[in-house]
Amino acid sequence: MLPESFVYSQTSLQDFADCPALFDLRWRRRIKYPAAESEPLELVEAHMERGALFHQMIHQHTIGVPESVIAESIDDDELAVWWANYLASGLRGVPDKRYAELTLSVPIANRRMVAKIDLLAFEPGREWVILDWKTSLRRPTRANLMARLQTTVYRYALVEAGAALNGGAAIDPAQVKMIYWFANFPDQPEIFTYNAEDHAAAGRMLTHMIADIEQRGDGEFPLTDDVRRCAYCAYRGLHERGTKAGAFDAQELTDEATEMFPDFTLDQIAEVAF
Amino acid sequence: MELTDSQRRIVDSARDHTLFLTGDAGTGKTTAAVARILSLIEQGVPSGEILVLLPHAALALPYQRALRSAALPPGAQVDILTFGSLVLQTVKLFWGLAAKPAGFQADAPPNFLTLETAQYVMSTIVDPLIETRGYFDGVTISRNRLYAQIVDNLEKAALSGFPHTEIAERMKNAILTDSSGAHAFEQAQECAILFRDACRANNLLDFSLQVEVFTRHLWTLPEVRAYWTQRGAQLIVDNIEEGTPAMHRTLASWLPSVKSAVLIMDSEAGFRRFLSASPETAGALRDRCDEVIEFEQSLVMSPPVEALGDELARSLGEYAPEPSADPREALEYGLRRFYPQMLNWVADEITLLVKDQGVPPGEIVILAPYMSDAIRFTLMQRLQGEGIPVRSHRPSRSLREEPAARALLTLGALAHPEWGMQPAPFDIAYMLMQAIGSAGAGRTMDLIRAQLLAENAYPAETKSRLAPFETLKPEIQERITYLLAPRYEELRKWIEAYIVEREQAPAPTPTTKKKGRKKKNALEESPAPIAGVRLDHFFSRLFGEVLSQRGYGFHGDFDASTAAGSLVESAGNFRRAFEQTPLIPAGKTAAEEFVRMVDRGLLADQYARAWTLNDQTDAVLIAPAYTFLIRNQPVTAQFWLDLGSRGWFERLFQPLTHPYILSAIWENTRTWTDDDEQEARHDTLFHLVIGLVRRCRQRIYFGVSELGENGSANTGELLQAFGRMIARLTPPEAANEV
Repeated sequence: MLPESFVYSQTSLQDFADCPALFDLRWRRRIKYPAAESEPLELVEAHMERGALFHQMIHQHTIGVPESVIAESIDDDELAVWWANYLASGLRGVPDKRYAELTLSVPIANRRMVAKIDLLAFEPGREWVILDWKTSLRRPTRANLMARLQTTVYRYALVEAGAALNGGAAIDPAQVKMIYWFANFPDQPEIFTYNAEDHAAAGRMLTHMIADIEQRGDGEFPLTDDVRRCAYCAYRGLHERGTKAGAFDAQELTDEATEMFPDFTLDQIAEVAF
Repeated sequence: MELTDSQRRIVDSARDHTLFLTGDAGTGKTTAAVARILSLIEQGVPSGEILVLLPHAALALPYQRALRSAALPPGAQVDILTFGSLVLQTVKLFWGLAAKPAGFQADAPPNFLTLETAQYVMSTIVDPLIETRGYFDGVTISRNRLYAQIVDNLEKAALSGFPHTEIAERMKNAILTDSSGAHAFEQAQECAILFRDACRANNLLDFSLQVEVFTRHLWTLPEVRAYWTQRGAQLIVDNIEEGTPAMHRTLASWLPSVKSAVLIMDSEAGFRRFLSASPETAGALRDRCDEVIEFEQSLVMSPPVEALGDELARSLGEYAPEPSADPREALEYGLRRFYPQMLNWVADEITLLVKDQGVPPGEIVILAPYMSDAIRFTLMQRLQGEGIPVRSHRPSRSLREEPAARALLTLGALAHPEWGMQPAPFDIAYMLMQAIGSAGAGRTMDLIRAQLLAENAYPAETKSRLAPFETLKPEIQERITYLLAPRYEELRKWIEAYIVEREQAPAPTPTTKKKGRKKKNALEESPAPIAGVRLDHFFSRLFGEVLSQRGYGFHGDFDASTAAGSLVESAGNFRRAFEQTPLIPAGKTAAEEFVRMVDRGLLADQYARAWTLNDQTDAVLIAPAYTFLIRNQPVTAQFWLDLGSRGWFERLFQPLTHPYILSAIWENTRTWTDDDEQEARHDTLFHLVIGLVRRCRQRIYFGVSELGENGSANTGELLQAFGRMIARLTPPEAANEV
């Protein structure tokens, strides 16, 4: 059973959509299984670190750290290119009011669901733009992005939380859009608009999905039929679905966070042998 | 929830008001603060403006519960931060503004040290001084504790707000010692300064440097203040008495710019003084708030428990009002001659509580100043045998004590013969037991088979690579069984292939560095040559490709996979912290140094512990007394063990550090006297006892044995106080038994 304080996110919901057994192990039972998820690990690690730095740089930029100071911290050419791309086109045409790294929290199906948005740019009464920075090596197709839970969860959460962000007034779904901006393909952003029908459908789908998860018990989280996914799953050995991790450069999206506890930073606790 | 009048005042207070709440634990202050947050959100205050700040993570539970409720309206998430994470976030975000003024390289990223990696840096400074110049020859503590105390001193200086160069002076002024003692203080000072210099030179930031950079170079900047003023316009700070002077100074300058604030302070607390908690500087914040509100009525303790607390206080020589209820209604004790008998009594009483009286297991805690593995194991076995769920909160232990981690480390040494580590045959046998599981009844790689295999496939005289199974004598092959042989062979071949692959790997490609630093791009980061092995990656691959597969010992063993996960994280942290620095000795790699550090017991399994902090299982908790206190979750029944132990009031032996002398309130001209020590012990015991009682609803059970766990009689102060109390509360003939 999920803990009382469990909070859903696009990551955990995507896991369930991809493979219920993965959701069970990672989120319900919180099992650590340190197998590589994609190879070569050296490349994966460097890419993840670079992606995290890039997100942090944009956060710094949004809160007013001077560009020259941020640029001084760039320590490799690829990151420098991403940064130049971001300055040239990352914010093209988006409103001036901005929140970086904003976490929205909304109730749904007797639980809460969070959406950690890279950047929210808005002009109240006119436009609410969710920007998501993607640093993957390959540009995902529009269809694949549309199918990602992230696209549904973020837009849904923004409209639901709208009144709290908009001085008490609800946000019209038609004013919401989500832009995936690609650091490696800066001139090919993918834009998803939204409307009231989409919002109602998203609510029904997410409610149904969460209710489905909640009513399942032990042994009711089957493995996915799509065995291609298993190469990228740390638990593949447990389910006898392969030994080697999948190829990193064959992945479409490579910068999804998979934190277990996305909303709380634990300090290290000094060691005291009471 | 029904609120008291005092709580209602907090909820209803104006949104431009700063409040200071004070009172004993259990009087409803946190509940009031949680209710205020909910009220603010319901009134339309943007939840992104509300910040909950805590001295440590374990206190977050009541806030997390409330803020994760589906009843809460949608909005931005309310932030819950510890002071440490606030410092870390600030330094990360605003590093570019602080690096140069703080003496770091601004064009390189900060590298944040964990407790374990900080201790490694300290070892690179202390070890040569011990080995070549005889430093610390009069100090009789282990090296690991030596490193920890010097790192701790730096943290105390940063958190308390005095220069790190004054540590030795303070210690020498306060503690009357001979010349060797004074030398040890000076040597510790020298090591602290060298450590700080090494960190600055390599952009390494231990917690003390994070605090210094934050307090001296960042918190003063308008950009930083504006950022936090926006995120924390409505500020809630709980348990400020467990916070440090650095946290209190930050709050003092933050308060004028907030819209509203609620600061909460428990009286007669400050349990984390050894981590620089300062109730004194916390208390000074009351003058900076618009209003002070006292909470007096306990909402946790029943009147008999309250009376029992008063009786205990009186027995410890403290003033307490005449009890208004009969303390005996909240008191049970079991007197036994031997320790195991006393543990049986505890288990029997808990069984009665759960099965006959319907007390939920999660409402029961078993406490002792130290909780040994033996006590923990005995009680867990007994209670689980009764079908009662039980959980244990043990202090972290060294990674080398985790069987799964040990097995992986042995495999790491085997796979890197250039290290020359040559695991002992027993380690090989132990690894084989862990790594190669069971092929069914009677076909397990048990100790006898594992030793046989180790002796024959890894002869003591050669100690190099594992031999192929087919080269073993037929009678040996038969005894090990042909069912286990394929697994051994697969594991051996994987290691061999790894060695060959690395031997054939091309020499490292010189990378074009930008500004003389780091790598150019990801594609140049092909698997590293022999000198640059990434041990965390090695463990991860070995785990995924072999050990987690069906038929191997880690397959489906989640304790083993958790330990393996901790080892991978620890090795990764270590590598990332040091592979680019000159701190790794010439001719060695970060991987070798990591293995050496684990072998010395320096690296602890802190990851698994953090994992369990929010565990809310309905199970009896077995925990050290301070751990329970710091979690701050009241229970219905408490069982106190080991009343005779000196651990209830005595500090650990720490010859190079001191929680009072290295604190914000210490007068540097004073001497630490025997009276000070006595008073500190007494305060420690009194606050601990009262803190525990205030977190108990119905009853406290005292388990007393004539002979302690180690078979000797203990007569510590708590046992004496308990005896005095029982003598007052029971008729003379019964009291004589105590």
